[in-house]
Amino acid sequence: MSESPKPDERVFFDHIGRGPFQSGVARERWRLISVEWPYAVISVSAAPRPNGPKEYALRFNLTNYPQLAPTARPWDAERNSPLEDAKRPHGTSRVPMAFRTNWKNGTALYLPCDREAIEGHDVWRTKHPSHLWKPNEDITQYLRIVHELLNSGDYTGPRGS
Amino acid sequence: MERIEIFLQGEGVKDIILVHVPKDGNVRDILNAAKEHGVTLGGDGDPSAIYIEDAEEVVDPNASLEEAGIRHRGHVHIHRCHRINVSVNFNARTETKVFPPSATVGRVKKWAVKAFDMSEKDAAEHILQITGSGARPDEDIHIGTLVTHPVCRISFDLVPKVRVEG
Repeated sequence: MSESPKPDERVFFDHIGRGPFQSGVARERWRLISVEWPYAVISVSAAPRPNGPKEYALRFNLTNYPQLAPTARPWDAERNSPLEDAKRPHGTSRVPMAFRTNWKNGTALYLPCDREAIEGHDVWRTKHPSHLWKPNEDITQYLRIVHELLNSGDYTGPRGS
Repeated sequence: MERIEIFLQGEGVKDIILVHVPKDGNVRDILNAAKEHGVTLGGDGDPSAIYIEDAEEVVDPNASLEEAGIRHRGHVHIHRCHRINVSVNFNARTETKVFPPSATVGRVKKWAVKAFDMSEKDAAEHILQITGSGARPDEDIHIGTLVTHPVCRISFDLVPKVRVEG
C-alpha cells in the first residue's frame, strides 16, 4: 500500500495547480520537472545569452513547506546531480552573488527567500523585505525572484562561457 | 462538456486565479466564476468590466469566448475602474499616464523607463515599487489588482534593484 502524501507535500501539489504557478507555466517562465518528496526539481527560463541554456533547473528541498522556506540549488536535471560550477548562472553583480559557489559549497542560493541563506542574515529582514519568504504564499515567490535574476541585464550566461 | 482554463485577475484579489469555463461559453461565465472566487463585482451603478490582458477595450459580457478572443490559458481582468491613473516617480520627476486595469506592471515599467529616457541597461536594473510601501509587484501582475474602486489611481517609485550581500 502506498503511503499517503504528507501535509507539506499535499499543500505543494495544491499550490502548483493554482493560478500563480500555472500562469508562470503558461508564460513559459518556469515548469515542474519532477517531484521526489521532499525534493522538487523546477526549471526557470533564462534570457538568451551566448552559449546560455534556455532554462536552469533548481532542486528544491521543501520540507515543512510552506511554513518553512524552501532551499534550492542549481541542478543538472538530465544527470540528476548538482550542476557543475562552470554551468551555473553568472553575471556582473547580483546574479553571481545569488548563485555564488564559495558559500556553503553552492548548496543553496544566496537569497533572503532561501531558508539556508536567511540564517545568520537578520539584517536582510529589514534590507530586503520584498525578498523574504512568506509562509502564507507559495513557491512562486521564490521562482519570481530567480526568474527576475535570470532575465535581468545583470545575467551574462553560464559561468564558464 | 469541454472546458478551458482562464487566468483571472481582478479587484479585491491579490493572486492570479485559475478558473475553468465551458469552451463554447460566453464572457458572463467568467464573471460568474470570478464571483465564486471572491472578485469584487459592482452593481448597476458601478458595474465591473472585463478586459483581456493589456487590451484597451472592454469585452462585451454577452459575447462568446471565441468572439471575444479569449482562448485557453488566456489572461483576463475584471474591475470597476475602467481606467487607472498611474504616476511614476524617479529622480524628483513624476510622469503620469492612464492605463486600463488589465495593464501589467511590466507594461507600465516599459512606458516609465521610456518616459524617463532611461538606457536599456539602466532600465533592466530598476523596478517599480508602490509609493509609500516596500511592495514590488511582479511584472505579470495587472495594475487593477493594486487599486480598489472608487480610487482608480496608483503611484510607483522607480527604484534600483539592490544586490543581496553581507
